[in-house]
Amino acid sequence: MDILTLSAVTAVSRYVLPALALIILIRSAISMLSGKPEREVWGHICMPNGAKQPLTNWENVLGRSRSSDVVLDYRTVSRTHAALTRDAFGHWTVMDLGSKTGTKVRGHDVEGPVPIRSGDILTVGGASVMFVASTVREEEARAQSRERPGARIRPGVTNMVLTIFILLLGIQYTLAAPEPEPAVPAAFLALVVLLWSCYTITRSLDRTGFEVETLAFMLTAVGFGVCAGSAPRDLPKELICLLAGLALYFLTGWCLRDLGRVKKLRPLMGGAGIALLLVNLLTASSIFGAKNWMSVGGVSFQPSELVKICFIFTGAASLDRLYTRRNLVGFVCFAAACVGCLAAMSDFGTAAVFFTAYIVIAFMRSGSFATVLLSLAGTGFGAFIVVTARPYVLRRFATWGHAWDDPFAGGFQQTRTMSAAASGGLFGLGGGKGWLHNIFAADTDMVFGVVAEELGLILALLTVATVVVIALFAVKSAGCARSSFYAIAACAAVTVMLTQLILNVFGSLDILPFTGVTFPLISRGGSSLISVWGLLAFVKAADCRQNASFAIRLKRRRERRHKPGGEEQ
Amino acid sequence: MKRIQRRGAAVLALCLAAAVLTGIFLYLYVLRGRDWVAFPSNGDAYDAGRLRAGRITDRNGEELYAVENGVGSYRGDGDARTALLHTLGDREGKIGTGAIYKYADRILGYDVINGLYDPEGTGGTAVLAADAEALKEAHRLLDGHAGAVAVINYKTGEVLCAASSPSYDPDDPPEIGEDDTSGVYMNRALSAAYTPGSVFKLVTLSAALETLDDVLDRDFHCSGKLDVGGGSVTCTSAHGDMKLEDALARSCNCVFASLALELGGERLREQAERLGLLTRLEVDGILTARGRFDAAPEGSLNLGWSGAGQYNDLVTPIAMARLCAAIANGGMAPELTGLRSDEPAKTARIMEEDTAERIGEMMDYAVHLTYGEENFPGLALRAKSGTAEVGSGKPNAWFVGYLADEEHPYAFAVCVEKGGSGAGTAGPVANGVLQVLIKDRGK
Repeated sequence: MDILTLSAVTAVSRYVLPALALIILIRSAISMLSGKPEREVWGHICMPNGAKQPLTNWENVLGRSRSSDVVLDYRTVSRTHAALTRDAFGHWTVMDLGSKTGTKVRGHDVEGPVPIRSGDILTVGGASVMFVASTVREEEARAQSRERPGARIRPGVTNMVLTIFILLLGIQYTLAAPEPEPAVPAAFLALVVLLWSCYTITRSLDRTGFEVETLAFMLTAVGFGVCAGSAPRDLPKELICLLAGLALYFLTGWCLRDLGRVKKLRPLMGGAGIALLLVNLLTASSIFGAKNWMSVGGVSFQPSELVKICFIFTGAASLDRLYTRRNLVGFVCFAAACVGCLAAMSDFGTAAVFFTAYIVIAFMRSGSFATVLLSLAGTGFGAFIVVTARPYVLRRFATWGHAWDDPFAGGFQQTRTMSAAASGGLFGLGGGKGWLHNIFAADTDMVFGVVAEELGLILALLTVATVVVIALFAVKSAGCARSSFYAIAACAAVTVMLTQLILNVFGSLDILPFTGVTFPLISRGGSSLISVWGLLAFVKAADCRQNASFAIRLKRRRERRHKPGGEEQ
Repeated sequence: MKRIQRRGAAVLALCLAAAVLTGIFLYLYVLRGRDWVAFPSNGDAYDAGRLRAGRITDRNGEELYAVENGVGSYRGDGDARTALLHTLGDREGKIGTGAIYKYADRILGYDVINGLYDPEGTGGTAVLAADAEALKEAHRLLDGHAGAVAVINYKTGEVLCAASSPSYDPDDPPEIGEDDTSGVYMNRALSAAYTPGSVFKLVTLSAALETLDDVLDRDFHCSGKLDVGGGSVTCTSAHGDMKLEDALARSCNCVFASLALELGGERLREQAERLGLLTRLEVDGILTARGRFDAAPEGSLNLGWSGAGQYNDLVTPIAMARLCAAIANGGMAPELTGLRSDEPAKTARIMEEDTAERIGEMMDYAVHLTYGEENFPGLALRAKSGTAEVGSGKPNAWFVGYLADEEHPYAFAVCVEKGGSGAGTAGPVANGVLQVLIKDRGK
């Protein structure tokens, strides 16, 4: 039906969709990335010379090193001397970090974590400083004065633009369907409802930061478009998975509010991750090379997707754990087990994703390039053995960069992706009017080509930029996250997303070896959709702007009364 | 803590990687997008291997091929279709150098902004450099003989005519067996390397002019035969005493063999290489066949003959036409294109300017002395013929040259297989095609 209507809609939407996406991205990016972050202040250290040093984190290192949070430039102070940490309820503790000259609170030697109260004298290697925690009133006053996100760039307006984007996309794909398919308009309408529901929930919690969600919904909408073009009957399933993803997102975010809870959950998550992979490995069915699928009750999914969440839970650590060796060894073993399982499943794309996440986590934890280089070298040897042992991996590498020499075997997917992407030009042929989506796995592994072909190169590149913006936001947020756990977790989460994006896009374009990983939120596939929404919760948990994120607890009345922070005793 | 927070910048390395890779992709996208689109498995461009839309015209706007409702049709009568077959390509893709395959991106109307977006389904137009009338005339004059006619515009580099015979009507194809050896699917103008015979003397001449300082002042003598290396190089008759320009005009084998012996095989090979006869030339990404020159041992009979275009020498008509274009252009060879272009071509120097000028004068003299200006009315022709012995049977007839005419800057090479005398057989073919090209048809 409506060939004429479709042509007319396409003629408009091919320009309007990229324009709307650009507006959404720019509004979100400005809101997320502009300006210097306003740091939270949780207390002070009064130096021997009378100067006051603010404590801007829940975890503070005292030491002679210039990169310490509180720099004590005395020869008797070790480079990394002691840690001063606050919990969610305003209780502070101090612990010695293996210093040569020792740490004392109120004259008593400190080894493990020892409580410290406002006004206590802390002796660090002979230098005595006074610790002063912020009072509840000070904290409240500061919270009042800090700018809330959304004041200048209103998330509601961005969401209105996004709504138009989703509806236009929905109209385009509904008209383009070869046979009328009610699932298509229904799915896009449901997406609008979910967008505004999430926004309402966030606002009702008095949180005003919604940029990450807006961008994620935009990518999800593009993903729905891809699915509507290639497999419209799968849209209901995709929608259910989105619901599950949102549930995981809110659940993970809620878990992350409480660092104490997180610490208790970590070993559990590690165990769950390994268990999932092992069950997968033992019962897996192989779909096109990689044995990474599992079928439960007729629903097939990729457990490795969910393990990503576990991986980050396990890899990130708060400061007190970072200084215990057992913790690091545990993580290295866990990471090796994960990558080993994935290699055994021949899922090298996902193994690579885990590995880059591991590199980033290892670097953030140790700060040592030597560690990172060593693990890279070790992996190089491992990869060499694996590649020589598995000819099909080797073949992929042999094709890399030479797709056009072999367009009917090794370069099959890549040549078609490039052809389709070029056919679309900057503005696309129109949603649903492409051809690439007919090729097997185009809507997952070659999805960049599908988007470029149907919606245009500009929109395709904007989706890439969207993930990059979220990553930059995570880096910025990590800079003032309350705990190193949140900083590491946020960076690791976006590392996973970025690595997937890079492997997916540039693998399909023959600029990197072709590995079948998914484009976050756009590739069709439920497990991936769920896991990426889960990963986004980590980004939210690092977002310390005032009243920005639901994953960060606001002080409640009850808490203020019963759990005094500091001097109200 | 501060330290750990700062280390989050590691993620920036990945962002940077994404940016760099995107840059690489965009570079390739702009550079190669045309080729990617033209990939025969691209469903946006082809339907079951057939172009979805578009048309091809010649340089004067005459429609040669058009796709309507997904069906491609060749325009014109049977003779026209036969004459244009190698320029356009066949339906099955066996003539891969044809415009249907080579310029699919233009036929479809691809551009880097809109890709193949084509709401009307009209496709685009590939405007070829080729002149349909010239191709038809070339085909008429070849008259069923195997051979090729290559004409290029030496200012713009356009290939005006790349006619190849034998050919067939694509709408009424004959039975052509799998084991066919006639080479009917090959465009001989681009892809056939023939023994050049005397037209190769232009190469020996250019090497002599650039190597031997006194060669223009020398007195040569031909007794009809030059004994060398236990055999002899022969001429059809004794040319007697002469200067170099007479040696070219009379096509004296003995003189050119002696020059070859003096220059040496390596020097000649190097010259042929520099003049583009031994490399594969590129015409919009399609590579032509390469020629051949074996450097025979010093003082050998073969070295003598190789300087006169015999022995193992091979050249393609298009490369000879390009060589003549460079002579016409003061030594600068134009980059070739099969698409209409009004811009001056990019050029590369393959010969000294002086050399080109001297050779041009000698080719002028050759027309005056040997080929007869009256045989080429209205043409400011400068030419060289060749009669190349190819074992048994009649020799291949060659005629190459150019028009010293700003209005009609055409360089050409004609080869008629087993055609006999170069000037006698190939000369009239060249004349006929050039006459069509210089006729003012209101472009």
